[in-house]
Amino acid sequence: MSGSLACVGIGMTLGAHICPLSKSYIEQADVVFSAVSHGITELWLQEMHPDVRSLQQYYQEGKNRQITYREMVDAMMTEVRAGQKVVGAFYGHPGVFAQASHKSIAMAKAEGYQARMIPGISAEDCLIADLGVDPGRFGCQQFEASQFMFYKREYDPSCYLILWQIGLAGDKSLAKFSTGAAHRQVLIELLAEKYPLEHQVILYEAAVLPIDSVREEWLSISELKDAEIHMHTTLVIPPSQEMKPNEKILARLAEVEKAITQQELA
Amino acid sequence: MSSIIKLLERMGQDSTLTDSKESSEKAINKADINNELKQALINKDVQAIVNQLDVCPDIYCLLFPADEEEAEEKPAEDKTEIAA
Ligand SMILES: C[S@@+](CC[C@H](N)C(=O)[O-])C[C@H]1O[C@@H](n2cnc3c(N)ncnc32)[C@H](O)[C@@H]1O
Repeated sequence: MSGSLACVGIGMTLGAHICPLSKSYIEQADVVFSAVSHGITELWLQEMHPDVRSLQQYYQEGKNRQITYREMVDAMMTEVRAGQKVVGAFYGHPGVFAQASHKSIAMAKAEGYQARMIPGISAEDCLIADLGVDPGRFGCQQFEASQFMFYKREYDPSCYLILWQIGLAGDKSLAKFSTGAAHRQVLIELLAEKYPLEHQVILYEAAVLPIDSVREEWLSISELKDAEIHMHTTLVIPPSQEMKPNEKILARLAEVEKAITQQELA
Repeated sequence: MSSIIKLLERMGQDSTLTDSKESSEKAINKADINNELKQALINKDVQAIVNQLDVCPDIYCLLFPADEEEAEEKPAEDKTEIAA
């Protein structure tokens, strides 16, 4: 079968992050579908390929985003089935908090087409660099903000917590592009189960254009209610507690060490 | 490639332009773009650039649902039941 699909990441900042392989996939494609986060980034892609089709047309306020994402998959798969070399160019990393890329690749593979994903530099990667956060230092958990609210998640206030799509936290309809103070108040109540309300958190926005400045706004959890939060804002909650030693495991490990030493001496 | 996009791409990839205001202003002034765009770039005024280019103004960057679609799982279950 001649059709193929590659979902490639173009990174967060125009010009800065795209890798040579993603660029090559875009240039060699028969058709490119774009899901990017700025109109100027769309223009940039159009300069790389004469047939770039924006997936923006499927978004509509009031329409369940599940439908939008299914339409994105359909649009890409229709061209794959027609034998085209298809590229889905996604901002950031195509596989990070992105549904259509994973689903279309799985579908293409299931139907016998060649399909692969090329990673990109995600919002999280930029956050690590801009905020000086190492996810390994205390550990790091991350969730989509609404999913974090809808389900009882086990989370640990001694590690970093990153909430994505915080701008629409609590939207059960999946049809809104933003939620406001009332929904956010519920999130604050949830976070207050583990964090003090005055705990300082960060609203983060990476640079999308090279002339953008990074947003790193520190505020308390209670101030989140009236904060300016956009679709592209990510919430970072630093640890509020120290890591608690696991005495039971430490004791077990000491026993093991002791046994090994004794064996070595014998 | 259009001059403004080429310049933005260069500003993204060239460390001398990202690190030095002087070099980036020099590159902006040398570029083959109109004065309004030059001023907008120097002022880092994204809106002014958007206003001058033929750009889709409202871009949605959401790509992820909070919930997986349940309906999709169901037919698979039905199939197993039939097979069983
Ligand atoms: C559906 S996810 C897509 C993430 C993307 N695939 C990536 O690799 O970063 C959308 C969420 O990513 C985060 N995001 C997108 N653009 C961002 C930016 N410029 N700065 C910080 N976070 C951003 C926000 O949490 C936003 O709600």
